[in-house]
Amino acid sequence: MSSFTRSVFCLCAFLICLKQGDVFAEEAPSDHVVPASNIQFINATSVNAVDLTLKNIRDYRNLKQGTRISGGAFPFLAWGIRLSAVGNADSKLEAKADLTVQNLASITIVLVGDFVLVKDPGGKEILRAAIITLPNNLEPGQKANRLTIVNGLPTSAVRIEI
Amino acid sequence: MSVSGFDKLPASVTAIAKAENISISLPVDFVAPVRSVVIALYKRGEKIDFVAMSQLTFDDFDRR
Repeated sequence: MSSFTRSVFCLCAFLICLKQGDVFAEEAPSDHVVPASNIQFINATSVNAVDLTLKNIRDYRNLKQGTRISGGAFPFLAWGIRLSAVGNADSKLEAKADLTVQNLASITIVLVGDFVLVKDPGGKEILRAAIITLPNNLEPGQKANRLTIVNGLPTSAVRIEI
Repeated sequence: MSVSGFDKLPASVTAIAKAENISISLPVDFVAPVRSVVIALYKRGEKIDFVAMSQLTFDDFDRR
């Protein structure tokens, strides 16, 4: 990928996300950055705000629900993600994911849940929160235009009609 | 909590999400280079809310 293409990518990604509003723009990579992955985040949790830690990258404190964090060309493939509701220091109430993505992967990560401990059918205690990974690329066999709907409602089913 | 996917959609489409006896219209326009969109539903207090975001790839920008 040429540096011109990379620059256009970053500029367009920033402009598109800016247009959508309520988006945090990442720092623009320099010309020396070799793009490896592009990851963006959607906070669709059902709590007022969360603390989101991107290990060795950045901490987002008090990230309000409905907030989106734009992607960009990041020079690494490993992502460590830690997520908790604001005010919860208990590690049992923290959702975690360690991802190693493919080179030049573009991914949307959707954060969902209300961070309540519940019991699964087997009686095991689980945290009702999730870090959902969705590839931006169309999967084999899929065709544009694609719409993915994430039901982040902690206790309700959703029926979708197109 | 779950994920549903639909593809081969027209450039303009409206999805209807029904939950808790409520219907929510989710209009989407696919404008190049965007070929994929995510909508996530969540609870804001007692109400259902949603947030949408386009999904772009490195290739999308090479095609421009």
